Amino acid sequence: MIQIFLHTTDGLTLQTIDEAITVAELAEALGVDDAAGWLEDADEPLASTTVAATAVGENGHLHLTRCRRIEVTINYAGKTKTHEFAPGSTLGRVRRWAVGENGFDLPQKERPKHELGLCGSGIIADRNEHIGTLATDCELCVDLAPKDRFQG
Amino acid sequence: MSAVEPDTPPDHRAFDADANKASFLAGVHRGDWLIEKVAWPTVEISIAARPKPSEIERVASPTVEISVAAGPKPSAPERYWLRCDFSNYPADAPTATPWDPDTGAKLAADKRPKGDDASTVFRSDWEDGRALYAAYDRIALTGHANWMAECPRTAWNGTQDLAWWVMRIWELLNEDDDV
Repeated sequence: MIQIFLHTTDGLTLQTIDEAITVAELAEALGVDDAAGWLEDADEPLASTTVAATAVGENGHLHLTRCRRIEVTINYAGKTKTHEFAPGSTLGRVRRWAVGENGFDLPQKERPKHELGLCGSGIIADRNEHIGTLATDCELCVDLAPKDRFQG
Repeated sequence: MSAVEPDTPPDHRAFDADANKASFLAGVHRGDWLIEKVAWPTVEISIAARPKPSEIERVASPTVEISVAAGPKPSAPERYWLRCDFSNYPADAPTATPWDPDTGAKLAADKRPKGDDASTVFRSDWEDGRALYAAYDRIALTGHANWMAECPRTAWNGTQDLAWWVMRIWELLNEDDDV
């Protein structure tokens, strides 16, 4: 048995799994038998016959979801960009894309001063969270905004 | 974390529950932060500042000593320690004193993390350097009621958890890390 961090649409949990269980068998055991398994920040899913423990490793991260891609809408300064990411992508990866040249192309010095929040909630999203967990119906909306500065 | 005793106070139980959440444990396994010592309500936490060639920084978390990893500038430590007070957690925000585990005292001004935001949060010229100058620190927030409105995303409101709090400091210490 090994311990892994399992990301699903229900959130992040720490799971102990059999070392021989495949991705498909794990998905079935969790009641999402048509889900695919993704390593963190991987662009393509694991084969369903992949032995999960071998691919993920002790205390590694596995994302299980029915979504094949997540359509992420990013709002910044009155503009909107949309891009598709794999569901096991971290929000940190989305942030890098959003501030980079394919996104809003912020000046290098400004990039660390911005963060992503969930649209309309004002909640800062954890950069290690998988977008497949945050998404609803395989879609996610985030706002790119300057970080709070403490003054006064 | 150890098993919670029946007479454990509510704030300590809440802390233990958060410290056992997968989101907090994932950070421990990444090496980003670690609970070093608990003498309730004091907790020491260390936060990693991973050695990197580039200029980078970040820090860590209430009277619990917690260490947080940070991407340091040359000669900066690989971990910063916080001696935190988690009294009345999570209704009240934790408060944290940047700590020197070698001397068992507040971290000296010249050893505190530097950077655009890190220098502000880890300033030593406010409250004698005993708290973080941030909206997620109890002492700072008490003295800056305006921050609840001006910093709604980072002001502690009692709904956040331990992983969220430590992550704020980790990001500060590693703010250039992933862009």
